[in-house]
Amino acid sequence: MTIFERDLGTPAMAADKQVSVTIDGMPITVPEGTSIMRAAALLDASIPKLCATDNLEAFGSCRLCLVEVEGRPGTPASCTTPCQEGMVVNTQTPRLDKLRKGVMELYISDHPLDCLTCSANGDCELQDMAGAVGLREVRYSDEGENHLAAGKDESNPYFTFDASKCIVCSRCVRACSEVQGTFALTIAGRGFESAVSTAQNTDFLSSDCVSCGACVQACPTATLQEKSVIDKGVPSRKVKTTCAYCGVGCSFTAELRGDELVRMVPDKQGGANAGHSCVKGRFAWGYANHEDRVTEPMVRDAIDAEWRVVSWEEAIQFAATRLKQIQAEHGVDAIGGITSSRCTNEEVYVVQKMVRAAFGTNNVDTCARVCHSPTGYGLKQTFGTSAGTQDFASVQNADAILVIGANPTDAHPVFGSRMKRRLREGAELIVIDPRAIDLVRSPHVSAQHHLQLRPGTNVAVVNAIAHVVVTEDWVAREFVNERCDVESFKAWERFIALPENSPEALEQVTGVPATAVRQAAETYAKAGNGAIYYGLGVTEHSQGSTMVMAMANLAMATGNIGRPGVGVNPLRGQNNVQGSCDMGSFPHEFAGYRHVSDDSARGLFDTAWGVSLRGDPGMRIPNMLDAAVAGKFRGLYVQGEDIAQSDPNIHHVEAALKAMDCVIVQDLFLNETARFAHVFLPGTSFLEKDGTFTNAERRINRVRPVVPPLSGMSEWGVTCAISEAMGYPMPYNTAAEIMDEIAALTPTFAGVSFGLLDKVGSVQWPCNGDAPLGTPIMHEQRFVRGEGQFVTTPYVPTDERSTRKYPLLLTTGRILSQYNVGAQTRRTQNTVWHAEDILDIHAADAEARGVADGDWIEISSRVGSTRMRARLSDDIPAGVVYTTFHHPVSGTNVITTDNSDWATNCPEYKVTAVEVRPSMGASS
Amino acid sequence: MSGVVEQDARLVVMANQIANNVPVGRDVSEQVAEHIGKFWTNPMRADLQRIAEQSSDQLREEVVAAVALLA
Repeated sequence: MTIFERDLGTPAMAADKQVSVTIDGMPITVPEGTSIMRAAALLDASIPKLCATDNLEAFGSCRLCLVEVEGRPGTPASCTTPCQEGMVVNTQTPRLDKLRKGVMELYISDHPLDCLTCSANGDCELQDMAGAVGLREVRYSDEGENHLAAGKDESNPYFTFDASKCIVCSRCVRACSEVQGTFALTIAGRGFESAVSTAQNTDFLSSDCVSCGACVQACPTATLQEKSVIDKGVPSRKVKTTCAYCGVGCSFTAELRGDELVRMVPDKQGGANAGHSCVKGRFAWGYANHEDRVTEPMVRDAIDAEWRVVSWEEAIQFAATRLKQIQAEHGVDAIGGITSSRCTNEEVYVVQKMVRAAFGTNNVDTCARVCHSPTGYGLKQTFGTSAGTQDFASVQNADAILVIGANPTDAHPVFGSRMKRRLREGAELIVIDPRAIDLVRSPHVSAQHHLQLRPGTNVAVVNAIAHVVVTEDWVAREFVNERCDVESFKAWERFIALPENSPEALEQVTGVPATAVRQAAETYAKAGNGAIYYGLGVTEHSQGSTMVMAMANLAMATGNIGRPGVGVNPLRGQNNVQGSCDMGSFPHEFAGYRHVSDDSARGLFDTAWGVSLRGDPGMRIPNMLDAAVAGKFRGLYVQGEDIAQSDPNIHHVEAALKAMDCVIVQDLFLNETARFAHVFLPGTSFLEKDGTFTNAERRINRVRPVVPPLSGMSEWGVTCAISEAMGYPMPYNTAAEIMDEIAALTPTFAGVSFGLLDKVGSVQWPCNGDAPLGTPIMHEQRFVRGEGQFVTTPYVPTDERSTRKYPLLLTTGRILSQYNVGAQTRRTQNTVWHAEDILDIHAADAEARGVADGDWIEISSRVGSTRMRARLSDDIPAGVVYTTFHHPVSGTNVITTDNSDWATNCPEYKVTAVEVRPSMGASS
Repeated sequence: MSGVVEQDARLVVMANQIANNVPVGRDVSEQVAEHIGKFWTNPMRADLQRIAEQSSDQLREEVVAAVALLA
């Protein structure tokens, strides 16, 4: 439940046909299928209701929304009765008043009368409805049978379930089913014994509940309520902003009492999430005020010295002096910077501008290097720009959904719920993944095809699918001839039709039966609308870029580009991966993906920035680290990243950081990288930022300051101060001014401004004169590069192979409750679900090594070893092991290697040859 | 292994990997030269040139040819 928002009772209808009705004497025309309740609400003639809310299908159980329809007998429920042409409805009559009062009397007779001390006082629909129907007395005593002594379930760390206050309206049950798609709740018992229960009749924490908060939001009473509201009271003001976790980029209303945040409520108007949320965005914001936050700048002369708290002025001068000294002694290219996908577009933009204009080098890179850089490369080669093709809503039109190397229900849960809704409606599902992710089989969803390939053989599998499409003549030739470069298609067609690319030829390589590949190919190619969604299981391979191009080839060959329900869609890991890439964070590109050697693009920036910029590409992150170990790279500005935990082969990363003369870390916490830092600049949480994030569907959303920066300075302000101290002032007064400069210099952002976003909510780039309100679906008439380009994609096995010494293949990923390196989520109560990283191992592999469920094991690769507990799992095949990297103590990236994508150097996190042995305990 | 030797070894791996993975159908050396020209820093290119001159046997012949194209 949430205060402030208008609830129209039932969902909007999208019918073309309109019908006209009269409600309480007022005419209104609505799409056919619209409920009387919604039509009345649109007229501000709100009808009392309890079981209805406009993000759930009408249910018709509370009997409070009864109306009279002229010419019809009885008093139908307005939520389940659709408007029909010419209908005349009365919502307020003496008969209805009496009926509603009687219904409310029954509800209240079995409800605690503790409104004054109830945590939902003033924010309770039951209370509101009692007032709305004019209930003044309850004739039934509380001596009869009732539920007033029902117990309270407080097992979930974020909300309580107080059964004594439940009116069994089923809103929570329906929210869990319809919105979240988990089906963790049910109504147990019959008649008077009916009660909300978890599906297995356990407490909430032990149940299948994923703590998305949909039930809490749906509850009209204090039955399901945030503990923060119980502790702090009902909020009194709100600020709309954007979540700082994954690439879905959910819109939220931050609800506060004074300057204290009470709760985050998903925004029904949010373009990305349409009122839904996950456990991270909804509840895991406590890290913003965690005691580990460092809010004062600190410096030290050497990494083994004590930190010294200093003023902002001293920290900035210290950093600038050291950086200038390094450049004087070792050359301008001896320093660089790394931008963060957790920071706003404006914060990222000023860091890359500082590096290029103030440092005088193109040595700037971004954490997307280690996640979606192959997306940038592959989609630019084939389609012409680095972006997903669809909006999230597009999935509602998909007939076949191909999920490759992604785990949406864990890593992009709000989009995962949207996808599951479409799957429940009948879309077919193909999963290509070594693991049996939740989508393969979960309540009311199961994959028609699970191609459980060997890690590292993505390209072989997608080539095999494309081989079937071509040899069976399922190519969409009209699309190809009209929209694509035909010569490149012909070359690709000849290549992909080679026998070596057939499912039969590749079966031994991939481990996927040829018949399964052929069936999946037919499903995708013949579905009508085939949509591809992919994640880091595609990109973090030695052929990550090849794989992105292989998927683009497949989509073009089948005509699955340029309309709702199709496309090639990267599910971005962090909230602003898309934006940080858009903003010119790569060492070879300015904002808008224009190469630094492009004289006309560089000329624009030269003029606007008043400097002569370099036309040669700078170093990527791994290049910087290699050069540091070689003594050639000596200073690094790290914005909001923890490369000493997140990057592969940590020993190498640490050696590089130790070799530098000045490491500047800008972050919320003293993270692992800060162990090697000389300057620590306190960052701002998303609650303190003013700017924009761009999500995985290119949607630019406002991030509004909910509370002032704890450190007293904005992050972009700190960057500008360092730039000025380096001799290049960047005198912005507001974040809006930075966006204005971005818009002026970036054609795809030309129409974007804070004013526009505040007016319309969000836009998806390109947003310019041709598309003033943005572009939900790309490449509708033509590709950004003109014609779609097919690229041949030979399968090349990774050098990382299992051997007798390292016979297992490790693959890594993340889970629902934790986020990346865990810097945020480890500092919340989400640790109740995942307190440590665990190694999943198949029972056969475990038995062969004498490992039992829960045992400590040592896992070793050719670059390092670490220890963690083992869990026997059927989700992975024999020969494969899996773990997460959310806890630094696990040292998962101690064992991942330097192998990387051939085109972008994105690390090959997904394939590491390892051996597992029993151990006596944790790593020291 | 010293840092410089380690860096050289990495450049060799990267260059050979590019040659091994570029799309089929076009001259591999040209594609390698294009890729390195677009994404590598000038010092990295210079280091690769030095490696090609001093110990070209570590490099695929298409990479050696690409280095010549980059010169």
